[in-house]
Amino acid sequence: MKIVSRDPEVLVVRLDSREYDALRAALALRAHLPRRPRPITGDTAVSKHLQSASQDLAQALGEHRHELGRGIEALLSDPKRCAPQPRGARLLTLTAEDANLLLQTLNDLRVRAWERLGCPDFEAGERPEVTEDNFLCLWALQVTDLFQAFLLSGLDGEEAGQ
Amino acid sequence: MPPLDMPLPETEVRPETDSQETREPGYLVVCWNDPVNHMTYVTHVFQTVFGWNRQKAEKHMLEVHEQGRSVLARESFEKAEFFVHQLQKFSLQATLEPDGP
Repeated sequence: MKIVSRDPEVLVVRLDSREYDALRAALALRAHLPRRPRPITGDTAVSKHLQSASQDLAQALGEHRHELGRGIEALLSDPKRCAPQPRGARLLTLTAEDANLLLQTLNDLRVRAWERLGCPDFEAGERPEVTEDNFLCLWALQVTDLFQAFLLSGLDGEEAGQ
Repeated sequence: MPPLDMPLPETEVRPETDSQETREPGYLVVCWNDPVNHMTYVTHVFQTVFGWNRQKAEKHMLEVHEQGRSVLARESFEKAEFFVHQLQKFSLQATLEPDGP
């Protein structure tokens, strides 16, 4: 992954064929990993008002996740924003909105994979054992880590570890 | 016409009547720590959702990381709900909580 250019409006990055294929494969996993609903409040005395708000939130998030999928597909299918390069590489031309779309989608995948793994507490040193059932989720966590770190460093104006 | 020396009725000066803001209870927008969202990502989300500069976003991110949660805003219900929606769209653990007893 390489930052080709950046300015306040646009970030241009180059992915080689393996990186692009990995990104595509990771994004395809989203459809196979459900997300757990999250409450809108931790207040235990939940009023009808807040119950209704929780339902609204769940619906909004469900719609949003579909929008993420459509948005990403449109981004990666657009030859202006995801331009094919020699040897299977891709040149991504990302506005801030595109970059946030990619970040949200990658993080959505990340959280789905984490939930499927049983929500391990990495900060406490928990490391799930690799099994045939979970290795794809562990792989997804690694891949999203790399892409997120790279995108964020690009948006911050720093060079990602290369 | 009343006589000039007739006393005027006493007027009671009331304190400023409740504005809508004080009538409507406040809600806190709270972000909670979790083991899956990276610190740099959380900082970026705070900057994006609230328009904060990096310093302020990092301050709140560190509160989340070190204290388990950070109160990001106190707003009306509608605005707090909006912020929680935005934060949860970025997959952060965010909730709204009534402010006060």
